[in-house]
Amino acid sequence: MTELDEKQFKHLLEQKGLKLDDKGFDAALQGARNLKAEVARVAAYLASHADKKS
Amino acid sequence: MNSAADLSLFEAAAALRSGTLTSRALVEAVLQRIATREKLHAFTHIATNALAQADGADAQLKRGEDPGPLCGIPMAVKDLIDVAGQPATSGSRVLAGRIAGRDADVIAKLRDQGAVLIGKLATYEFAMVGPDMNLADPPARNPWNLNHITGGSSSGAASAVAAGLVRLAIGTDTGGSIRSPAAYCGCVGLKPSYERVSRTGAFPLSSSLDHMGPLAATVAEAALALDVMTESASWRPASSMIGQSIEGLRVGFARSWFADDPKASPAVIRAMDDVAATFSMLGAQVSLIDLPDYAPYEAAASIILHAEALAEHAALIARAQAAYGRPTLQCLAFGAVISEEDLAMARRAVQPLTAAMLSAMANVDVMLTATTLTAALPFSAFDGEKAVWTPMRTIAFNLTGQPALSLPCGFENGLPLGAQLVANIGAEDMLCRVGHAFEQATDFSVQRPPF
Repeated sequence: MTELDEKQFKHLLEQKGLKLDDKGFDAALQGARNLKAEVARVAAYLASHADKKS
Repeated sequence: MNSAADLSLFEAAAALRSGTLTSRALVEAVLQRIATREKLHAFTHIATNALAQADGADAQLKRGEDPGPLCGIPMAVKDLIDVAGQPATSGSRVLAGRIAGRDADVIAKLRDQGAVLIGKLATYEFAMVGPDMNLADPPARNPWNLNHITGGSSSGAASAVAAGLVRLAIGTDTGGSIRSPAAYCGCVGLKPSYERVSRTGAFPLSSSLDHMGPLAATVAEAALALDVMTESASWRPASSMIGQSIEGLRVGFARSWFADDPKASPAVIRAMDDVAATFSMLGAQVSLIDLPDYAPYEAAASIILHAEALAEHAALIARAQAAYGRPTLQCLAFGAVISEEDLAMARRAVQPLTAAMLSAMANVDVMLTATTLTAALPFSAFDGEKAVWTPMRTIAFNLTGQPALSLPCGFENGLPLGAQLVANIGAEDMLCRVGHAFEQATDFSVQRPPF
């Protein structure tokens, strides 16, 4: 999984109408990266669950 | 006993009916207690008609009408839940000046019983994150040490109950927001089964995970309140087995679930071992059980929570973004990275995660684990700029929808610790039976912070 970069995140925030100052952006980017890691974790869980079922 | 404010709900109800106490006198005692403990910042609003409500309840009882056990009893409500005629800001400047036009469903049920809704309680902004020192309402403080947080988001509710301001408060729990502040402040917090209590009229954080429930001084009082709050008669009453022996009941102690985490405080581990020993002493069959890994539960729930929260706030963000607190807006921003596919995947994980949890608990009546892994942190651990998460074991049961009860079980450096009991969906009666038995065998629930 490639790490979410600043440009991508800025674009996603713009799509949602969110405007953060630099300090807020840095903190939010860190949290967003952590959340993306959670997405990978759930994907791995589902894959392993499917393996166990098959 | 110096004040009517210290009467349990049962004692107060009996006194109101025997004529030895009026609701007006009870509410006056509670208002006086609140006034002497303002430093807690637990309340954000005191109802201007509190005494008029009490007079109404007194008149009902005098006429021989008895709408229910909570008639004339003062209670308070987290400011995420609408109470008609009272401020409803969800702890945010975004909704400054908003007055609720009608009661949330659960409040209407309480009001129908003649409950006296004395005011609104502090909440983390939109139940999202806290403490934030820069909001209009200062954060509630831990009654055991004012320099420590209450946890949240039902922060004022836990502070108020633990400090003896009220015996009962109504809160919400999306990832632990009833149970973790109850644990940190030293009171009982009961998150019921999903959809047992209507959520209509509470500002949603994440409708898939949101639950409403009571925070109370004791398990029996929480059970009584939940039975009044319950949406349909199809649910078994939570209070129906209070007082029954727990001899022979199977208690699964999920010790490794918290004790293997390096963040777990040794004091929490010791206190939980003592809880398990107490259950053994009471005749329960206590066995160690292994639960599924916590991380996938937390991961799936976080994805769902952040995606649903951002969607819920879209209109307010468009209209009043500048009015949000900085940590809240940052947390909402996390959700921007969740695609529809990510959300669908997290929702797909709920079924197997729930099945795995139920399977792990299949051979026990209740599961015992820690609510939080530490005592409440000091305010100094929070810089107000970004969110700081405190380690807990709660959100898994928002995902599975199982009922979960946090109750006081010890102290670390003078700050309370909480044990968590979890049962199958609809088995609040079993939870409260076991929790009440623990309370009766120990003195944690009667300890109050010094004032």
